Amino acid sequence: MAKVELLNNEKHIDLKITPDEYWTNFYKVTHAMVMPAEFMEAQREYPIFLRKDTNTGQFYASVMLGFSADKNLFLDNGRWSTRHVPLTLKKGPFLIGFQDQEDEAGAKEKIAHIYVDIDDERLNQKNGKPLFDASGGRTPALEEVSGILGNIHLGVEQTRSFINALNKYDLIEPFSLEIEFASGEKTKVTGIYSVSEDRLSSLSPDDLYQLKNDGYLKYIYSMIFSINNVKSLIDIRNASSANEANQPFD
Amino acid sequence: MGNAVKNIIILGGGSAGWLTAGLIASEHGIDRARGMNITLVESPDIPIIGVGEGTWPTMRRTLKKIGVSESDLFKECEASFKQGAKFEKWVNGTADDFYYHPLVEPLGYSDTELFYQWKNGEYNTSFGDAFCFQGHICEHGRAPKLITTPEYSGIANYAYHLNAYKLGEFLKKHCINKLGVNHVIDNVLKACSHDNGDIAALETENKGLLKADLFIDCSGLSSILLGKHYGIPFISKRHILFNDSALAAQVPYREPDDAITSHTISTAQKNGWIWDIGLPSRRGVGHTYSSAHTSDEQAEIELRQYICHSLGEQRSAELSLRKISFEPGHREVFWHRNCVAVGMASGFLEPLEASALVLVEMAANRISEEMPANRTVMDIVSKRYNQRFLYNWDAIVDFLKLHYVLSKRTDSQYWLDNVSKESIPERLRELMLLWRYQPPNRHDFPYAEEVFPSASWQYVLYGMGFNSSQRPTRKAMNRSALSDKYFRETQEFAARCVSKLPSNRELIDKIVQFGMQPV
Ligand SMILES: Cc1cc2nc3c(=O)[nH]c(=O)nc-3n(C[C@H](O)[C@H](O)[C@H](O)COP(=O)(O)OP(=O)(O)OC[C@H]3O[C@@H](n4cnc5c(N)ncnc54)[C@H](O)[C@@H]3O)c2cc1C
Repeated sequence: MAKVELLNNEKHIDLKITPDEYWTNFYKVTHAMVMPAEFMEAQREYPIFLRKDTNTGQFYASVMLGFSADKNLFLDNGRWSTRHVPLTLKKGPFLIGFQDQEDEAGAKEKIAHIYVDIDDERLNQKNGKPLFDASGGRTPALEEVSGILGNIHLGVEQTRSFINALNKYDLIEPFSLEIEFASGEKTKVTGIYSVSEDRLSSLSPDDLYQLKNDGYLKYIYSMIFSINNVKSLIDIRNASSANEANQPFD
Repeated sequence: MGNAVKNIIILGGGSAGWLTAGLIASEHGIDRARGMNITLVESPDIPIIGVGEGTWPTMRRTLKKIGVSESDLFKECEASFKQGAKFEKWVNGTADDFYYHPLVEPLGYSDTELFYQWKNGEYNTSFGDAFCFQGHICEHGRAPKLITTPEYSGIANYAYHLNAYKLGEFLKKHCINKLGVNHVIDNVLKACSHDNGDIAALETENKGLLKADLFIDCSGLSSILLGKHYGIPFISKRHILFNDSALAAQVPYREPDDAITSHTISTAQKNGWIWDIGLPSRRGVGHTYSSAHTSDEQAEIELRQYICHSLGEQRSAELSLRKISFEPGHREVFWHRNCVAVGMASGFLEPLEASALVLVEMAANRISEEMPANRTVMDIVSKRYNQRFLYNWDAIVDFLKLHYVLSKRTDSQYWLDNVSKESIPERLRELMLLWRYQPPNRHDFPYAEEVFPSASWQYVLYGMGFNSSQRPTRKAMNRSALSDKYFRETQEFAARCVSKLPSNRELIDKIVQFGMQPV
């Protein structure tokens, strides 16, 4: 169970965070939310699709790290084999939250705060990087978290406008992915969506210009190009199951 | 030809007027310069009838075609999901007397004769529940889809319950702002004729003459053009369908988060029946009855008694009621010269099975699809239109009457009169004779687009205990393995749906908060 608290430099002064490579839960993650600003880097390594939040029905962008009910294919002995790690995974057990604050004129303003799930197993009082220094100041580790959270917050807003633009031009379509691995095993990835190239190419010059001007065209192309990475995912998966087959008693 | 049909006037801004305007404009208003010019005129003084709150699944296609977002419908029209109707106390009036008429066809309907399998099998459940999962979802108050299901699609087929006034405003805004429909607010005083008897223009109180090539009469019960101007005779169906009065109430929920029933509840009374329609904000409840068999006072007592169960005696007694009178029936023809009537202006039978708006949609679609290019071909189109819609009205009359004919209630003259031979249309008598020896099939309903398909007839017939005797045909015999499979699959799927689907209110709240995606 998550137990979320507002991060506080007195209460949490001894809190330390262990590096990700010791966190085995990442092995089970087969997809992760990404923000539009990450698309350029992400598309070099992962397939980027849209998925729906099961609670709200809203689209978000997500990279594929493995196949459903399988494992994260980009972790090698606990270390990421990729250059880019999705911000939503790098952020650790931290969250952003907003509180109303009154300024001198009495106007209410929403101020961002960092929250922490103190039950998360990555946190402890002994090993890892401290969040605060002895005088209660933020350490570089915490500054990094803070930057990541800010970018995620912006990214969620950007995702919303990006999706609205895609919907406006009817560009989203369900994507069907059926795969047969070298072993003969078959799998089907469901609930993923991509940009329709057909509809993209039938847009009027004006609409295309609008998409470019709003900065969405590069995201769209990142998504389309990224689909090639499905092939590398299959290759990694074929190779890894071949390894496993060679070590039957491991 | 010089007599091209370019300008259309729709008289009336109720559900019929705006649905018709939306369907025609979304098809013919694409090219503003060369396409059609569509104007809707409505009175600032005469209110819409405002009671049509139950729809049929065709409404999904209609709204999609008109181009509105389904999420917006939920946000702006107090819409909720309707998955068919539950009929209570129609057979004998006891507490366990109920059946569902769901919107999903029985599983395996086309490849086995399910009724015989059900009759011979040991399924221990009603015909509908044995082979259709939807009644199970309804009993549990579930929605027909998930928040991740795209707009206008469902896991179970569905229609809507909605606020008729808000639907009108919603469509009006879209028709004017997005589809380029001209809107005139004025009273129409009379129609002016050409020498040949066609309508040339409508004379209005303040805006002078409104000229057009085709006039669509959506003026409601007053039927200003088809009825008043042309004097097209009204064919009463009162001798078949006795209800001619209604008392309608808006019933608040006890708590704001009370469950929203995801089907229409129709409960038979001594001299009519009560509809119960759940919107997110309130329920629409009304008693429709025969004034020849009971008095308004007695009808009111029964209605308040019904409402009392959920609301308590005092609050039920305080509710204000609205009385509506109507003559069940329709015009002899619907399209006369250059005037076609849609909605109440063409006729109305009674609220049972929400057949009025579905007929509006069929009419508007037909007019739009067959829009005569010019006056010369209009008579060909209108002749076919009249034939087809006479068939539709008769089919609805038969289907509605079926609900009464199958009743075994004898607690009032109303129910006794309802089974008297002279009150049953000849076609229905024939069909019911035929069905004693074979279940309804597609040959009984030959059109691709029937108002009520044969599965609907089966749900009502077998839900109400009708029996069809069995003959040794391949389809009827020795298929128990197959029907067992359908039964099992239905029960399994129903259980999955009941555990996975959100409640009606939960989903509607989410739709209002987040919206649904178009894909
Ligand atoms: C008790 C009852 C229950 C019902 N329940 C259902 C149901 O559950 N489902 C269903 O599908 N249907 C139902 N109906 C039918 C449904 O209400 C109507 O089919 C639907 O509302 C369409 O009505 P309309 O637009 O034809 O008429 P109205 O809503 O009456 O609109 C008439 C329009 O014409 C205008 N008008 C009239 N005279 C003039 C004039 N002189 N100048 C300018 N404008 C004029 C009015 O201003 C108004 O805008 C029910 C009907 C009744 C009576």
